[in-house]
Amino acid sequence: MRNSFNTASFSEVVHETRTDPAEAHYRYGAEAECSPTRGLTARVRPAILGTVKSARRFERPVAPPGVVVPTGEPTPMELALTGIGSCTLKTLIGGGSARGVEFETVRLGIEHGDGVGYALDIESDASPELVRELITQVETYSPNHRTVVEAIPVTVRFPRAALQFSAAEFSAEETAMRRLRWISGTQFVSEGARDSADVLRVDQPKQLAGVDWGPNPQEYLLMGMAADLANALADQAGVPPLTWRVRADARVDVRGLLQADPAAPIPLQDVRCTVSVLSAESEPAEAALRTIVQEAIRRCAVIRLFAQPHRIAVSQLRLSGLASEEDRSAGPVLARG
Amino acid sequence: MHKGESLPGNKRVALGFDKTGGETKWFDELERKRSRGPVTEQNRLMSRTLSPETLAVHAGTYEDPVTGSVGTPIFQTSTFLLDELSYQAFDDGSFRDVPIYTRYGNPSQWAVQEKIATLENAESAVVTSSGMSAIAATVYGLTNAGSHIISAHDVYGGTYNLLREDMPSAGREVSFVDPTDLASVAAAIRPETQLLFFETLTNPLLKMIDLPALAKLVADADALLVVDNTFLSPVNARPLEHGATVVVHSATKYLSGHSDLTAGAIAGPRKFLDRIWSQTMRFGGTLEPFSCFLLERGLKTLAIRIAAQNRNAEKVARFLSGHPAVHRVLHPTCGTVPRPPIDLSGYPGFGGMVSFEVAGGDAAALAVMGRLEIPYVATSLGGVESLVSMPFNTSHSSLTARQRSAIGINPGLIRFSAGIENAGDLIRDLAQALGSPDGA
Repeated sequence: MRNSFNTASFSEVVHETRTDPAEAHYRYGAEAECSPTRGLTARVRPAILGTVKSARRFERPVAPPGVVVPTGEPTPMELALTGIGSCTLKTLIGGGSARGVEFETVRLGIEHGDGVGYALDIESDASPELVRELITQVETYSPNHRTVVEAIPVTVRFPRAALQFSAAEFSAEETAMRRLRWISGTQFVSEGARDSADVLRVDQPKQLAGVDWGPNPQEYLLMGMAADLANALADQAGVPPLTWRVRADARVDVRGLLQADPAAPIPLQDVRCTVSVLSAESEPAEAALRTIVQEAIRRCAVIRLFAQPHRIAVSQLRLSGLASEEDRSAGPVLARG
Repeated sequence: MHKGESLPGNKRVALGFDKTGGETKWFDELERKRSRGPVTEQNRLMSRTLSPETLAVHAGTYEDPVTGSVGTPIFQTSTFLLDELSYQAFDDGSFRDVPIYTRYGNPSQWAVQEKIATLENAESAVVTSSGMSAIAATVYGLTNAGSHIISAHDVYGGTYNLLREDMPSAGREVSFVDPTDLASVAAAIRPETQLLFFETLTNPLLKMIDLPALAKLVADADALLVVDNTFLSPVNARPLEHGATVVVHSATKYLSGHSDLTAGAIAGPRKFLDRIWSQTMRFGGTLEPFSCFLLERGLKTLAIRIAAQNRNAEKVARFLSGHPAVHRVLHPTCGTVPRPPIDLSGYPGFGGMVSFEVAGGDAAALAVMGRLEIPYVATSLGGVESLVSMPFNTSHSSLTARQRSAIGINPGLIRFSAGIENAGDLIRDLAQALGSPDGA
């Protein structure tokens, strides 16, 4: 299979979703816990891919934002950047494979600061013009990319209430970066800038032509959001030491990515977080809980990625063949790597 | 023929095989859709409205365009000429649809697969080297590490061992329940429950399940229902029509019917069968061409064999029910097997299996088996010859006596697989072995 990417299987999904739209709705979920004794952890929940469940077990410790831990765990924003960058690359590899392109090297540096920036390094047998066209298609059809570019409403529910909030409320600012590399097929690695041991594996579920090597791009994005909110709930002055659990859910209409239906939305839909306190512990009163949740949302840089539109700046080191010296200076993230 | 040149007519590739790539601009322009099979222009495709007797004889037969042979030739080859379409299949991942290498696919497999798919009213089927190969490929292929599987306490021993001994290290958790108790099945379902595996008729207690009710539970949980239909065969039950996702068989039993090969079969939607096929391919458990020929030949008489075995088993069960040396007879028609309130009138029969408990325990039962003259004392079932065995020292020997009792296998239990012999002869033989006058 070209690039170890099963194009036939994606072709079948295109036609299946045209015949039966119920098969187009992919529901992803993640959960994070922030505990005074066990710290911050995130895991994926079973995905429902159309009418088929994919129950994989991926759980990992997460570092709170701004905290450098000696064991090199990623922060919630780094999980989210891994999700955004890997979705971009997966869309590139898939779209390129469908067009007959053979890739040698595909790397992406992704940064979050004032906004979001990519530095792409692509070595393939395609002309630079074709690769540029592919990049435009990726920017148009990658679900996680579109989720960052557009403003996607996020609902936060907690016991007995759901919270509406405006995008202007955010105070969160966080700098983070990841380096992503294509391995084969739907497999990628995401490396941290701080610690060479900090490597995240990304893959599609086996039900979607992957091999279950790691969570998929949407699951990384949701793990990042759940972990960010769980940490922000616990990390507030005056809040008692409770174990907070946040479940993040979203739906992708895969017809948008595949263009099986040009009217289908491309970004994540029905994005929601559900907040709870572990049942053994005493939950704050409703008014206090509302205040805690509101303040936590205000501090969440990952929720801000969803709720506010962002321009993503794309720089290109190489589109085919070898990168020139001039190109190399254009990609600060990859150049550092 | 030169490398890259297509074979004349391209009739060897599956119907629906399309060139996937080419001048596409994006995924929406890809042409390949899922289709039934794989089958070629040479395979006989029959209307599913025909009777099982007709379908068993004709469905799937490879009609050889060169010789006109009546019956599928044996494609006894490990490999096939490569051509442009083979390379295309490699390139886009559609190599289930082109004969390339017998572990991937072979016209002998395709013919018998189409016959089984037709009999089960399925889109697609895969044949494997044994029933356990079929079950292992299905369970692994349809689940992820991190998932949860539910099966029956008294599922076939080979399946039980696979689930109990291999799944934990493969990252799958398993719960065992009583499938006739819907409440206990519902209570066992978790968010990560991905697959439920039950049998249409259990071994050796011949319990039946409420398939539509189970199917609803499973669908509500976004899970898959895999049903082992070995004991009933598609002549007596077609589980896919009642909500099962995928059906598996030990084709060693009724499907082949002559106790001369080991084989397995899986049938269901192509979406799932493609995944099971690729798992089978990686495990290496595909069925070789001569065994495909034996299986296809056996299948031609499936309907008439099953009809005879249905009748023989019911007559044997009736005779045993009135015998003083027999404590209990287990057969769906006897009313002694606990089962959900399901209507049995839609079943043509229940296969050749009858289980019964002999007074005096295991020693007495072994003595009865020793006096039988017609059946062979051997494991397995479903062949044209009657077979007799005891679960305590064969299929369920790994369980303790208490564990066997807990699932209803009491001392003295004999499993009688009725073949196609004369029912009167079988009953007279049972009568003399049990030490009583002829009951025929």
